[in-house]
Amino acid sequence: MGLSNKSPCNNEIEVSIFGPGYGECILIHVGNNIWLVIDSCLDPIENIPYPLSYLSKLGLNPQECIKHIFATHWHNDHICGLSHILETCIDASFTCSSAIGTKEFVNLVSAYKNYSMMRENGLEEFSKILQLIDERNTTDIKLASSDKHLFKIENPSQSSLDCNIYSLSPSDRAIRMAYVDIAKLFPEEITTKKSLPGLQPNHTSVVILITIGNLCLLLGADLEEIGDDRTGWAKIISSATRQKQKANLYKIAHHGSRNGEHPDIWTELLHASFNSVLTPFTLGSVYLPKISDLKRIQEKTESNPVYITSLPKWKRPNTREKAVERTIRESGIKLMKPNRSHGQVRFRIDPNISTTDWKVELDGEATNIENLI
Amino acid sequence: MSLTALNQILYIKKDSIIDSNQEADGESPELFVNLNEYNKLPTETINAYLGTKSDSIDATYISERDHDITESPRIQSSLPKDAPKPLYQHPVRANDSYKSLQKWEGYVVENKKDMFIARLIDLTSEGEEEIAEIPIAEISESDLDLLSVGAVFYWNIAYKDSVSGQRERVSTIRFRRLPMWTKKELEDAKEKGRTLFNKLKWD
Repeated sequence: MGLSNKSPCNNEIEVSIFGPGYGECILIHVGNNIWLVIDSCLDPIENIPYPLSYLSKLGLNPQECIKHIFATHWHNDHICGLSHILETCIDASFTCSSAIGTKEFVNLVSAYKNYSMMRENGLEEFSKILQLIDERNTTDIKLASSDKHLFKIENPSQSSLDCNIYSLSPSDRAIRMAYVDIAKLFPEEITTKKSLPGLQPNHTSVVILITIGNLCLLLGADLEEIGDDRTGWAKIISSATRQKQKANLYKIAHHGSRNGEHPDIWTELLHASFNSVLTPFTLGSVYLPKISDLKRIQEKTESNPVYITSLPKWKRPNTREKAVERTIRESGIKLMKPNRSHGQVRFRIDPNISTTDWKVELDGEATNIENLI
Repeated sequence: MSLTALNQILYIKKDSIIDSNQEADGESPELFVNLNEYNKLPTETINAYLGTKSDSIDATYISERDHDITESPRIQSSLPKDAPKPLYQHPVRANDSYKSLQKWEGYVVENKKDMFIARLIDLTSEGEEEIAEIPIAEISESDLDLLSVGAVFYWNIAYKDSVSGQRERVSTIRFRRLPMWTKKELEDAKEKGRTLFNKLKWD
């Protein structure tokens, strides 16, 4: 298996979702060789960010064609390698959540970058991004929040295919909650240095809606639903001022978890006929989606296909020398290696012809979820 | 050579051995070592070992690592001609030595009742990230207070060679004793953060 290395035609829209088991990246061609990057993760084979490796395979120069870069939130699985992309694409804009465009977040980045004394502290990538933007001195940081029109990309040959990019979250209340949560993460005097814990739930995540003519894409990032109608999906669905166009393609939120689910997403935000895709997540004892999540999603999507970029599983670690293997066995320590395998789902469509007949191609471990249930 | 090492050299004077013809009642002859006679070496010999006899001896030539004096020509030439010969010499190490086979840096991600889960980074060879479920029993009591989500530790599997020459395989998990955040660090971080925030162009 392998995808063709032919780049999309001028008016052909491409949405490529990469998810190697830990990490998520979405690369979108909106027409006329203009590409968007939403989040980033590393290609496990090439060990560079997926947008750079994939566009090179298509014979394209990332520096020339990537125009907009989005970080939906600051968790490492969504921004790993993003600074490398930003460094390469010197003319690209950068957009992140309003919830982290704050002094509190920048102070947190500063503390962990300069004084944490740890190899991994979860904020290195963002500190590199901020440093690059500071050095560049020409890039504005666009801040995304609910019901905001972020960009319009005009199609010079066909104005009916102009691309509009909207953010649907975070809501005002979510931003305020994130301020408080992030401020609490700032270390206190006379406490031991540790690696940064994750923020749960994630109030900072940016949901993006992209319209290209009659075509509509809904990218759910890691937005969670906590039962507060002033935040999360409930707020998006009930918003009177949001963009009302229904999506033909949905990137399922939060790796298909129950927390990322709201029952009205499938009826209020999506067309009757749509494609959807999700990426897995494996870290520690957590793996998503579970089989129960896949069954729930299949039930909601009825006959519409759902794809997953790779398989959420653990593998046996690499074999080491016998003395080491024996010691591990004797100690009772269980060692596992999370699955990190290449997986890509590529959707292509010409919106002049259709908004429902996507050409779907799978690469690596990507598959339809019905094969897993 | 330290006095401890010197005392490990056993000297047996031939005359102390009981003549086998003198054994009585079928009992086996016994080997006697008159320690009183050999507890202390002649001063001249000790000084030769320690390199304090004269300025002509390079004191640095003799160190704790020079444990096999029979191989040292300088020592041998300074010994009196009738100095007793060592019967047996232990190779002497000052401390236990370790040969690391595998080392990881770990970050605690979840703490359960009788075990914890950690992300591991292989420090021995560049490898992929691993996840470990580690029984609490593997942690030293002195480190238990350090076990919490976010804590950093090192897990080392090594061969340990003891002073006596015994080799064993050991697995050691040791939590990193990171320092505390200081007031100055936090104030500096806020100052740097404030400066950077004001410099950046926010939309």
